Amino acid sequence: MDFGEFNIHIWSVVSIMGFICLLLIFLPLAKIRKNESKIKNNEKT
Amino acid sequence: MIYFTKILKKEFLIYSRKSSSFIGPVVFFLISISLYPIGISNDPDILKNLAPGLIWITVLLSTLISFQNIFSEDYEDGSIELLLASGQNLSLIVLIKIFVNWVFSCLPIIILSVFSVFLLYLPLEGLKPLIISLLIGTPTICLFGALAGALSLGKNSITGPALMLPLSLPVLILGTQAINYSLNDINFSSNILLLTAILIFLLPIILFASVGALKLHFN
Amino acid sequence: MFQILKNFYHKLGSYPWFYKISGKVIPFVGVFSISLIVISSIWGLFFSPTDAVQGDVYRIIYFHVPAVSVSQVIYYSISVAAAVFLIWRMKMAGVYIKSLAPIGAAFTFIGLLSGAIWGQPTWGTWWVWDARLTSTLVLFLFYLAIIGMQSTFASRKSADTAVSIITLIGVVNLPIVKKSVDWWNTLHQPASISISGESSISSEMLIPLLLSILGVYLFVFFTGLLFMRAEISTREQNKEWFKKLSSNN
Repeated sequence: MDFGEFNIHIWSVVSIMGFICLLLIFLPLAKIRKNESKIKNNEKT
Repeated sequence: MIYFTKILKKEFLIYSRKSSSFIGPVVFFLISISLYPIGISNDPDILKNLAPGLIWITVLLSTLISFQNIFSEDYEDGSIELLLASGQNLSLIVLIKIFVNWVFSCLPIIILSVFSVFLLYLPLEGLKPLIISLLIGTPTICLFGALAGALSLGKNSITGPALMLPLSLPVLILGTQAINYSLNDINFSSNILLLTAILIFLLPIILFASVGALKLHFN
Repeated sequence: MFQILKNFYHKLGSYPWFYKISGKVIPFVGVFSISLIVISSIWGLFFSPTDAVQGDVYRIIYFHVPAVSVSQVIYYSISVAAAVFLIWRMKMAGVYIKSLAPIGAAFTFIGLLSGAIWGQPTWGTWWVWDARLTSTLVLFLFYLAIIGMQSTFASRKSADTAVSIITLIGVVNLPIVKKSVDWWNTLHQPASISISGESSISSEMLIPLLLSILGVYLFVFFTGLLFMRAEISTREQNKEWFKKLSSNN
Protein backbone atom coordinates (compact mmCIF):
# COMPACT_ATOMS: atom_id res chain seq x y z
CA MET A 1 0.00 0.00 0.00
CA ASP A 2 1.12 3.55 -0.70
CA PHE A 3 2.23 5.40 2.40
CA GLY A 4 0.87 8.69 1.16
CA GLU A 5 -2.66 7.48 0.55
CA PHE A 6 -4.97 7.30 3.56
CA ASN A 7 -7.53 4.49 3.44
CA ILE A 8 -10.12 5.24 6.11
CA HIS A 9 -11.64 1.74 6.08
CA ILE A 10 -8.38 -0.02 6.84
CA TRP A 11 -7.15 2.44 9.41
CA SER A 12 -10.41 2.50 11.35
CA VAL A 13 -10.27 -1.31 11.62
CA VAL A 14 -6.62 -1.15 12.70
CA SER A 15 -7.25 1.49 15.33
CA ILE A 16 -10.35 -0.23 16.75
CA MET A 17 -8.55 -3.56 16.94
CA GLY A 18 -5.52 -1.94 18.53
CA PHE A 19 -7.68 -0.18 21.09
CA ILE A 20 -9.55 -3.36 22.05
CA CYS A 21 -6.30 -5.34 22.27
CA LEU A 22 -4.76 -2.71 24.56
CA LEU A 23 -7.92 -2.84 26.68
CA LEU A 24 -7.64 -6.64 26.87
CA ILE A 25 -4.06 -6.34 28.11
CA PHE A 26 -4.38 -3.50 30.58
CA LEU A 27 -7.71 -4.32 32.24
CA PRO A 28 -6.50 -7.59 33.85
CA LEU A 29 -3.10 -6.07 34.60
CA ALA A 30 -4.76 -3.25 36.53
CA LYS A 31 -6.92 -5.76 38.40
CA ILE A 32 -3.92 -7.91 39.39
CA ARG A 33 -1.99 -4.85 40.52
CA LYS A 34 -4.96 -3.65 42.57
CA ASN A 35 -5.41 -7.01 44.30
CA GLU A 36 -1.72 -7.39 45.06
CA SER A 37 -1.31 -3.85 46.35
CA LYS A 38 -4.38 -4.26 48.57
CA ILE A 39 -2.55 -6.97 50.50
CA LYS A 40 0.64 -4.92 50.78
CA ASN A 41 -1.35 -2.01 52.20
CA ASN A 42 -3.02 -4.31 54.69
CA GLU A 43 0.34 -5.50 55.90
CA LYS A 44 1.65 -1.98 56.40
CA THR A 45 -1.26 -0.90 58.55
CA MET B 1 -47.98 -41.91 39.45
CA ILE B 2 -50.81 -40.65 41.65
CA TYR B 3 -48.37 -38.09 42.96
CA PHE B 4 -47.75 -36.68 39.51
CA THR B 5 -51.43 -36.56 38.54
CA LYS B 6 -52.02 -34.64 41.75
CA ILE B 7 -49.33 -32.15 40.81
CA LEU B 8 -50.82 -31.85 37.34
CA LYS B 9 -54.26 -31.11 38.81
CA LYS B 10 -52.78 -28.61 41.24
CA GLU B 11 -50.98 -26.76 38.48
CA PHE B 12 -54.13 -26.62 36.36
CA LEU B 13 -56.07 -25.22 39.32
CA ILE B 14 -53.44 -22.57 40.04
CA TYR B 15 -53.36 -21.39 36.44
CA SER B 16 -57.13 -21.37 35.99
CA ARG B 17 -57.67 -19.36 39.18
CA LYS B 18 -55.09 -16.78 38.15
CA SER B 19 -56.70 -15.32 35.07
CA SER B 20 -53.84 -12.90 34.34
CA SER B 21 -51.57 -15.80 33.43
CA PHE B 22 -53.45 -16.62 30.25
CA ILE B 23 -55.20 -13.33 29.52
CA GLY B 24 -51.90 -11.43 29.42
CA PRO B 25 -50.39 -13.19 26.39
CA VAL B 26 -53.75 -13.21 24.59
CA VAL B 27 -54.20 -9.46 25.01
CA PHE B 28 -50.63 -8.86 23.97
CA PHE B 29 -51.11 -10.99 20.86
CA LEU B 30 -54.36 -9.28 19.83
CA ILE B 31 -52.97 -5.79 20.39
CA SER B 32 -49.84 -6.38 18.36
CA ILE B 33 -51.68 -8.17 15.56
CA SER B 34 -54.00 -5.19 15.21
CA LEU B 35 -51.13 -2.72 15.44
CA TYR B 36 -49.15 -4.17 12.52
CA PRO B 37 -51.57 -3.04 9.79
CA ILE B 38 -51.72 0.41 11.35
CA GLY B 39 -47.98 0.71 11.76
CA ILE B 40 -46.76 -0.89 8.54
CA SER B 41 -49.41 -0.62 5.86
CA ASN B 42 -53.02 -1.57 5.27
CA ASP B 43 -52.21 -2.88 1.82
CA PRO B 44 -53.28 -6.57 1.69
CA ASP B 45 -50.43 -7.51 -0.64
CA ILE B 46 -47.73 -6.25 1.73
CA LEU B 47 -49.39 -7.72 4.82
CA LYS B 48 -49.87 -11.06 3.11
CA ASN B 49 -46.13 -11.42 2.59
CA LEU B 50 -45.28 -10.31 6.10
CA ALA B 51 -47.98 -12.29 7.92
CA PRO B 52 -46.07 -15.57 8.62
CA GLY B 53 -43.11 -13.77 10.14
CA LEU B 54 -45.25 -11.30 12.06
CA ILE B 55 -47.37 -14.01 13.67
CA TRP B 56 -44.36 -16.07 14.65
CA ILE B 57 -42.47 -13.11 16.11
CA THR B 58 -45.53 -12.06 18.09
CA VAL B 59 -45.96 -15.55 19.51
CA LEU B 60 -42.28 -15.59 20.44
CA LEU B 61 -42.49 -12.23 22.19
CA SER B 62 -45.70 -13.09 24.01
CA THR B 63 -44.02 -16.12 25.55
CA LEU B 64 -41.46 -13.68 26.92
CA ILE B 65 -44.23 -12.26 29.09
CA SER B 66 -45.25 -15.61 30.49
CA PHE B 67 -42.07 -17.64 30.90
CA GLN B 68 -41.26 -16.16 34.27
CA ASN B 69 -44.56 -17.56 35.59
CA ILE B 70 -43.28 -21.12 35.33
CA PHE B 71 -41.14 -21.08 38.45
CA SER B 72 -41.17 -17.62 39.99
CA GLU B 73 -44.24 -17.92 42.23
CA ASP B 74 -43.31 -21.39 43.42
CA TYR B 75 -39.90 -19.99 44.21
CA GLU B 76 -41.31 -17.10 46.21
CA ASP B 77 -43.70 -19.17 48.34
CA GLY B 78 -41.10 -21.88 48.86
CA SER B 79 -42.89 -24.80 47.22
CA ILE B 80 -39.98 -25.46 44.86
CA GLU B 81 -37.80 -26.08 47.87
CA LEU B 82 -40.33 -28.63 49.11
CA LEU B 83 -40.40 -30.34 45.71
CA LEU B 84 -36.60 -30.51 45.73
CA ALA B 85 -36.66 -32.04 49.19
CA SER B 86 -39.44 -34.50 48.33
CA GLY B 87 -37.09 -36.84 46.49
CA GLN B 88 -39.50 -37.32 43.60
CA ASN B 89 -38.42 -37.29 39.98
CA LEU B 90 -37.80 -33.59 39.45
CA SER B 91 -37.51 -33.57 35.68
CA LEU B 92 -41.01 -35.04 35.44
CA ILE B 93 -42.37 -32.31 37.71
CA VAL B 94 -40.62 -29.66 35.61
CA LEU B 95 -42.10 -31.26 32.50
CA ILE B 96 -45.59 -31.04 34.03
CA LYS B 97 -45.04 -27.39 34.90
CA ILE B 98 -43.84 -26.57 31.39
CA PHE B 99 -46.76 -28.45 29.86
CA VAL B 100 -49.37 -26.62 31.94
CA ASN B 101 -47.69 -23.30 31.22
CA TRP B 102 -47.81 -24.14 27.51
CA VAL B 103 -51.51 -25.04 27.69
CA PHE B 104 -52.38 -21.75 29.33
CA SER B 105 -50.05 -19.31 27.59
CA CYS B 106 -49.44 -20.73 24.11
CA LEU B 107 -52.56 -22.73 23.24
CA PRO B 108 -54.96 -19.74 23.37
CA ILE B 109 -52.62 -17.79 21.11
CA ILE B 110 -52.44 -20.64 18.63
CA ILE B 111 -56.23 -20.75 18.50
CA LEU B 112 -56.39 -16.98 18.12
CA SER B 113 -53.85 -17.00 15.30
CA VAL B 114 -56.69 -18.23 13.09
CA PHE B 115 -57.89 -14.61 13.11
CA SER B 116 -54.74 -13.58 11.28
CA VAL B 117 -56.42 -14.95 8.15
CA PHE B 118 -58.80 -12.00 8.36
CA LEU B 119 -56.62 -9.39 10.05
CA LEU B 120 -53.34 -9.91 8.20
CA TYR B 121 -54.84 -11.36 4.98
CA LEU B 122 -52.93 -14.62 5.33
CA PRO B 123 -54.08 -16.87 2.45
CA LEU B 124 -56.18 -19.83 3.55
CA GLU B 125 -53.71 -22.47 2.39
CA GLY B 126 -51.17 -20.96 4.81
CA LEU B 127 -53.41 -21.70 7.78
CA LYS B 128 -52.64 -25.40 8.04
CA PRO B 129 -48.81 -25.06 8.19
CA LEU B 130 -49.23 -22.09 10.52
CA ILE B 131 -51.23 -24.08 13.07
CA ILE B 132 -49.08 -27.21 12.77
CA SER B 133 -45.77 -25.35 13.02
CA LEU B 134 -47.03 -23.35 16.00
CA LEU B 135 -48.27 -26.52 17.72
CA ILE B 136 -44.87 -28.18 17.34
CA GLY B 137 -42.64 -25.12 17.62
CA THR B 138 -44.06 -23.40 20.70
CA PRO B 139 -43.29 -26.27 23.12
CA THR B 140 -39.61 -25.89 22.19
CA ILE B 141 -39.83 -22.18 22.93
CA CYS B 142 -41.53 -22.95 26.25
CA LEU B 143 -38.64 -25.29 27.06
CA PHE B 144 -36.14 -22.50 26.45
CA GLY B 145 -38.33 -20.21 28.52
CA ALA B 146 -38.31 -22.71 31.39
CA LEU B 147 -34.51 -22.91 31.29
CA ALA B 148 -34.17 -19.13 31.19
CA GLY B 149 -36.72 -18.79 33.99
CA ALA B 150 -34.96 -21.39 36.12
CA LEU B 151 -31.61 -19.65 35.67
CA SER B 152 -32.84 -16.15 36.41
CA LEU B 153 -35.12 -17.03 39.34
CA GLY B 154 -35.89 -14.27 41.77
CA LYS B 155 -34.00 -11.68 39.76
CA ASN B 156 -35.48 -9.18 37.42
CA SER B 157 -32.64 -9.37 34.98
CA ILE B 158 -32.43 -9.10 31.24
CA THR B 159 -30.41 -12.33 31.05
CA GLY B 160 -33.52 -14.51 30.72
CA PRO B 161 -34.79 -12.99 27.46
CA ALA B 162 -31.22 -12.42 26.26
CA LEU B 163 -30.62 -16.15 26.60
CA MET B 164 -33.96 -17.24 25.20
CA LEU B 165 -34.16 -15.30 21.95
CA PRO B 166 -30.97 -16.50 20.24
CA LEU B 167 -31.82 -20.06 21.26
CA SER B 168 -35.24 -19.92 19.60
CA LEU B 169 -33.91 -18.62 16.30
CA PRO B 170 -34.02 -22.01 14.48
CA VAL B 171 -37.63 -22.56 15.49
CA LEU B 172 -38.57 -19.13 14.17
CA ILE B 173 -36.79 -19.73 10.87
CA LEU B 174 -38.24 -23.20 10.30
CA GLY B 175 -41.74 -22.13 11.33
CA THR B 176 -42.00 -19.11 9.05
CA GLN B 177 -40.33 -21.03 6.26
CA ALA B 178 -42.94 -23.79 6.46
CA ILE B 179 -45.70 -21.24 5.90
CA ASN B 180 -43.83 -19.52 3.09
CA TYR B 181 -43.21 -22.89 1.42
CA SER B 182 -46.88 -23.77 1.47
CA LEU B 183 -47.79 -20.37 0.01
CA ASN B 184 -45.39 -21.07 -2.86
CA ASP B 185 -46.76 -24.60 -3.35
CA ILE B 186 -43.64 -26.29 -2.02
CA ASN B 187 -43.92 -29.32 0.22
CA PHE B 188 -43.38 -28.08 3.77
CA SER B 189 -43.38 -31.43 5.59
CA SER B 190 -39.57 -31.46 5.91
CA ASN B 191 -39.71 -28.31 8.01
CA ILE B 192 -42.34 -29.79 10.29
CA LEU B 193 -40.23 -32.92 10.67
CA LEU B 194 -37.19 -30.82 11.53
CA LEU B 195 -39.18 -28.87 14.12
CA THR B 196 -40.28 -32.15 15.66
CA ALA B 197 -36.69 -33.41 15.63
CA ILE B 198 -35.49 -30.27 17.42
CA LEU B 199 -38.23 -30.67 20.03
CA ILE B 200 -37.46 -34.33 20.70
CA PHE B 201 -33.72 -33.74 20.70
CA LEU B 202 -33.81 -30.78 23.09
CA LEU B 203 -36.54 -32.03 25.46
CA PRO B 204 -34.40 -34.30 27.67
CA ILE B 205 -31.36 -32.00 27.53
CA ILE B 206 -33.27 -28.92 28.60
CA LEU B 207 -35.27 -30.72 31.27
CA PHE B 208 -32.02 -31.99 32.75
CA ALA B 209 -30.40 -28.56 32.52
CA SER B 210 -33.32 -26.71 34.10
CA VAL B 211 -33.45 -29.16 37.02
CA GLY B 212 -29.75 -28.46 37.52
CA ALA B 213 -30.41 -24.74 37.31
CA LEU B 214 -33.21 -24.96 39.88
CA LYS B 215 -30.96 -26.79 42.31
CA LEU B 216 -28.41 -23.99 42.08
CA HIS B 217 -30.68 -21.65 43.98
CA PHE B 218 -30.77 -23.88 47.04
CA ASN B 219 -27.21 -24.65 47.98
CA MET C 1 3.00 -40.99 29.88
CA PHE C 2 -0.49 -41.28 31.31
CA GLN C 3 0.91 -40.60 34.77
CA ILE C 4 2.55 -37.37 33.58
CA LEU C 5 -0.70 -36.21 32.03
CA LYS C 6 -2.59 -37.06 35.20
CA ASN C 7 -0.08 -35.14 37.29
CA PHE C 8 -0.33 -32.19 34.96
CA TYR C 9 -4.12 -32.24 35.20
CA HIS C 10 -4.00 -32.24 38.98
CA LYS C 11 -1.47 -29.42 39.02
CA LEU C 12 -3.61 -27.45 36.58
CA GLY C 13 -6.42 -27.54 39.09
CA SER C 14 -4.34 -25.80 41.73
CA TYR C 15 -4.51 -22.01 41.93
CA PRO C 16 -1.03 -21.37 43.45
CA TRP C 17 0.74 -23.55 40.90
CA PHE C 18 -1.07 -21.87 38.01
CA TYR C 19 -0.44 -18.41 39.41
CA LYS C 20 3.29 -18.99 39.71
CA ILE C 21 3.75 -20.69 36.33
CA SER C 22 1.59 -18.20 34.43
CA GLY C 23 3.60 -15.34 35.94
CA LYS C 24 6.72 -16.82 34.38
CA VAL C 25 5.16 -17.65 31.00
CA ILE C 26 3.20 -14.45 30.41
CA PRO C 27 6.06 -12.05 29.47
CA PHE C 28 7.44 -14.40 26.80
CA VAL C 29 4.07 -15.19 25.23
CA GLY C 30 3.10 -11.53 25.36
CA VAL C 31 6.20 -10.23 23.63
CA PHE C 32 6.13 -13.02 21.05
CA SER C 33 2.42 -12.66 20.18
CA ILE C 34 2.43 -8.87 20.02
CA SER C 35 5.53 -8.79 17.83
CA LEU C 36 3.98 -11.45 15.59
CA ILE C 37 0.82 -9.36 15.20
CA VAL C 38 2.82 -6.21 14.50
CA ILE C 39 5.05 -7.95 11.94
CA SER C 40 2.13 -9.62 10.15
CA SER C 41 0.09 -6.40 10.04
CA ILE C 42 2.99 -4.36 8.65
CA TRP C 43 3.65 -7.11 6.11
CA GLY C 44 -0.03 -7.33 5.21
CA LEU C 45 -0.64 -3.59 5.12
CA PHE C 46 2.44 -2.41 3.23
CA PHE C 47 4.26 -5.26 1.53
CA SER C 48 1.69 -7.75 0.25
CA PRO C 49 0.34 -7.12 -3.25
CA THR C 50 -2.88 -5.22 -3.88
CA ASP C 51 -5.91 -7.32 -4.75
CA ALA C 52 -6.90 -7.07 -8.38
CA VAL C 53 -10.65 -6.93 -7.75
CA GLN C 54 -11.11 -5.28 -4.38
CA GLY C 55 -8.10 -2.97 -4.29
CA ASP C 56 -6.47 -2.01 -1.03
CA VAL C 57 -9.57 -2.58 1.09
CA TYR C 58 -8.99 -6.33 1.02
CA ARG C 59 -6.18 -5.78 3.56
CA ILE C 60 -8.83 -5.84 6.28
CA ILE C 61 -8.63 -9.62 5.80
CA TYR C 62 -5.49 -9.62 7.98
CA PHE C 63 -7.61 -8.52 10.94
CA HIS C 64 -11.03 -9.89 10.06
CA VAL C 65 -10.24 -13.55 9.40
CA PRO C 66 -8.10 -14.15 12.54
CA ALA C 67 -10.67 -12.45 14.77
CA VAL C 68 -13.63 -14.44 13.43
CA SER C 69 -11.84 -17.77 13.49
CA VAL C 70 -10.48 -17.26 17.01
CA SER C 71 -13.90 -16.23 18.31
CA GLN C 72 -15.36 -19.60 17.26
CA VAL C 73 -12.42 -21.56 18.61
CA ILE C 74 -12.75 -19.77 21.95
CA TYR C 75 -16.42 -20.75 22.16
CA TYR C 76 -15.65 -24.41 21.53
CA SER C 77 -12.83 -24.38 24.08
CA ILE C 78 -15.15 -22.75 26.62
CA SER C 79 -17.74 -25.47 26.09
CA VAL C 80 -15.10 -28.16 26.65
CA ALA C 81 -14.21 -26.36 29.90
CA ALA C 82 -17.91 -26.27 30.81
CA ALA C 83 -18.16 -30.04 30.39
CA VAL C 84 -15.02 -30.48 32.50
CA PHE C 85 -16.49 -28.23 35.17
CA LEU C 86 -19.83 -30.05 35.28
CA ILE C 87 -18.35 -33.55 35.24
CA TRP C 88 -15.21 -33.29 37.37
CA ARG C 89 -15.99 -30.09 39.30
CA MET C 90 -12.61 -28.62 38.42
CA LYS C 91 -12.53 -25.10 39.84
CA MET C 92 -10.02 -23.91 37.27
CA ALA C 93 -12.50 -24.64 34.47
CA GLY C 94 -14.87 -22.07 35.99
CA VAL C 95 -12.05 -19.52 36.05
CA TYR C 96 -11.27 -20.39 32.42
CA ILE C 97 -14.87 -19.82 31.27
CA LYS C 98 -15.19 -16.55 33.12
CA SER C 99 -11.88 -15.22 31.80
CA LEU C 100 -12.19 -16.31 28.19
CA ALA C 101 -15.79 -15.17 27.64
CA PRO C 102 -14.99 -11.42 27.50
CA ILE C 103 -12.04 -12.10 25.18
CA GLY C 104 -14.26 -14.13 22.88
CA ALA C 105 -16.91 -11.40 22.92
CA ALA C 106 -14.27 -8.79 22.11
CA PHE C 107 -12.97 -10.74 19.12
CA THR C 108 -16.46 -11.52 17.86
CA PHE C 109 -17.14 -7.80 18.05
CA ILE C 110 -13.94 -7.02 16.15
CA GLY C 111 -14.93 -9.61 13.55
CA LEU C 112 -18.44 -8.18 13.09
CA LEU C 113 -17.22 -4.59 12.98
CA SER C 114 -14.33 -5.21 10.59
CA GLY C 115 -16.69 -7.26 8.42
CA ALA C 116 -19.12 -4.35 8.29
CA ILE C 117 -16.37 -1.86 7.47
CA TRP C 118 -15.08 -4.23 4.80
CA GLY C 119 -18.55 -4.83 3.41
CA GLN C 120 -19.32 -1.17 2.96
CA PRO C 121 -16.90 -0.47 0.06
CA THR C 122 -17.06 -3.96 -1.48
CA TRP C 123 -20.77 -4.86 -1.32
CA GLY C 124 -22.11 -1.35 -0.84
CA THR C 125 -23.83 -2.11 2.48
CA TRP C 126 -22.64 -2.34 6.03
CA TRP C 127 -24.69 -5.40 6.84
CA VAL C 128 -26.13 -8.31 4.91
CA TRP C 129 -28.39 -10.90 6.51
CA ASP C 130 -26.12 -13.58 5.20
CA ALA C 131 -25.85 -16.96 6.90
CA ARG C 132 -22.36 -16.43 8.22
CA LEU C 133 -23.00 -12.94 9.52
CA THR C 134 -26.16 -14.02 11.28
CA SER C 135 -24.57 -16.98 12.98
CA THR C 136 -21.66 -14.80 14.11
CA LEU C 137 -24.18 -12.36 15.56
CA VAL C 138 -25.85 -15.22 17.43
CA LEU C 139 -22.42 -16.27 18.72
CA PHE C 140 -21.94 -12.73 20.01
CA LEU C 141 -25.33 -12.89 21.77
CA PHE C 142 -24.32 -16.17 23.43
CA TYR C 143 -21.13 -14.55 24.70
CA LEU C 144 -23.17 -11.68 26.10
CA ALA C 145 -25.53 -14.12 27.84
CA ILE C 146 -22.54 -15.92 29.39
CA ILE C 147 -21.05 -12.64 30.61
CA GLY C 148 -24.42 -11.40 31.88
CA MET C 149 -25.08 -14.63 33.76
CA GLN C 150 -21.92 -14.20 35.85
CA SER C 151 -23.42 -11.48 37.99
CA THR C 152 -26.83 -13.02 38.69
CA PHE C 153 -25.66 -15.50 41.32
CA ALA C 154 -24.32 -14.64 44.73
CA SER C 155 -22.12 -17.69 45.21
CA ARG C 156 -19.19 -18.27 42.90
CA LYS C 157 -19.85 -21.98 42.49
CA SER C 158 -23.51 -21.53 41.49
CA ALA C 159 -22.55 -18.85 38.98
CA ASP C 160 -19.92 -21.11 37.44
CA THR C 161 -22.39 -24.00 37.19
CA ALA C 162 -25.08 -21.82 35.64
CA VAL C 163 -22.64 -20.44 33.10
CA SER C 164 -21.46 -23.96 32.24
CA ILE C 165 -25.06 -25.06 31.65
CA ILE C 166 -25.69 -22.11 29.33
CA THR C 167 -22.47 -22.71 27.45
CA LEU C 168 -23.31 -26.36 26.83
CA ILE C 169 -26.87 -25.54 25.73
CA GLY C 170 -25.35 -22.95 23.42
CA VAL C 171 -22.91 -25.38 21.87
CA VAL C 172 -25.73 -27.87 21.29
CA ASN C 173 -27.77 -25.14 19.66
CA LEU C 174 -25.11 -23.39 17.57
CA PRO C 175 -24.95 -26.05 14.83
CA ILE C 176 -28.75 -26.02 14.64
CA VAL C 177 -28.71 -22.23 14.31
CA LYS C 178 -26.02 -22.42 11.66
CA LYS C 179 -27.86 -25.03 9.59
CA SER C 180 -31.24 -23.35 9.87
CA VAL C 181 -29.80 -19.96 8.94
CA ASP C 182 -28.25 -21.63 5.91
CA TRP C 183 -31.63 -22.98 4.78
CA TRP C 184 -33.32 -19.69 5.47
CA ASN C 185 -30.70 -17.79 3.56
CA THR C 186 -30.91 -19.97 0.49
CA LEU C 187 -34.61 -19.28 0.17
CA HIS C 188 -34.44 -15.52 0.41
CA GLN C 189 -31.14 -14.59 -1.15
CA PRO C 190 -29.37 -15.55 -4.30
CA ALA C 191 -25.90 -16.82 -3.54
CA SER C 192 -24.30 -13.91 -5.36
CA ILE C 193 -22.34 -12.76 -2.34
CA SER C 194 -19.63 -14.91 -0.92
CA ILE C 195 -17.65 -13.44 1.91
CA SER C 196 -14.24 -14.69 1.00
CA GLY C 197 -12.40 -15.36 -2.17
CA GLU C 198 -9.96 -17.44 -0.21
CA SER C 199 -9.86 -20.29 -2.65
CA SER C 200 -7.79 -18.32 -5.13
CA ILE C 201 -5.56 -16.55 -2.66
CA SER C 202 -1.93 -16.19 -3.68
CA SER C 203 0.93 -17.25 -1.47
CA GLU C 204 2.20 -13.68 -1.06
CA MET C 205 -1.11 -12.88 0.61
CA LEU C 206 -1.44 -16.21 2.37
CA ILE C 207 1.79 -16.09 4.39
CA PRO C 208 1.05 -12.82 6.23
CA LEU C 209 -2.53 -14.04 6.74
CA LEU C 210 -1.32 -17.25 8.37
CA LEU C 211 1.16 -15.25 10.46
CA SER C 212 -1.58 -12.92 11.67
CA ILE C 213 -3.85 -15.87 12.52
CA LEU C 214 -1.01 -17.42 14.54
CA GLY C 215 -0.35 -14.07 16.20
CA VAL C 216 -3.96 -13.58 17.22
CA TYR C 217 -4.21 -17.12 18.60
CA LEU C 218 -1.08 -16.54 20.69
CA PHE C 219 -2.45 -13.16 21.75
CA VAL C 220 -5.63 -14.84 22.96
CA PHE C 221 -3.49 -17.32 24.89
CA PHE C 222 -1.59 -14.40 26.42
CA THR C 223 -4.64 -12.33 27.41
CA GLY C 224 -6.39 -15.51 28.55
CA LEU C 225 -3.56 -16.13 31.01
CA LEU C 226 -3.73 -12.50 32.13
CA PHE C 227 -7.50 -12.62 32.69
CA MET C 228 -7.23 -15.93 34.53
CA ARG C 229 -4.53 -14.49 36.78
CA ALA C 230 -6.71 -11.48 37.51
CA GLU C 231 -9.67 -13.71 38.26
CA ILE C 232 -7.63 -15.95 40.58
CA SER C 233 -6.21 -12.94 42.36
CA THR C 234 -9.76 -11.72 43.08
CA ARG C 235 -11.05 -15.13 44.16
CA GLU C 236 -8.09 -15.98 46.37
CA GLN C 237 -7.46 -12.56 47.88
CA ASN C 238 -7.77 -13.75 51.43
CA LYS C 239 -5.86 -16.99 51.06
CA GLU C 240 -2.51 -17.46 52.78
CA TRP C 241 -0.53 -18.39 49.65
CA PHE C 242 -1.65 -15.31 47.80
CA LYS C 243 -0.71 -12.99 50.65
CA LYS C 244 2.71 -14.61 50.91
CA LEU C 245 3.30 -14.42 47.17
CA SER C 246 2.27 -10.82 46.72
CA SER C 247 4.11 -9.54 49.76
CA ASN C 248 7.31 -11.15 48.48
CA ASN C 249 7.15 -9.32 45.17
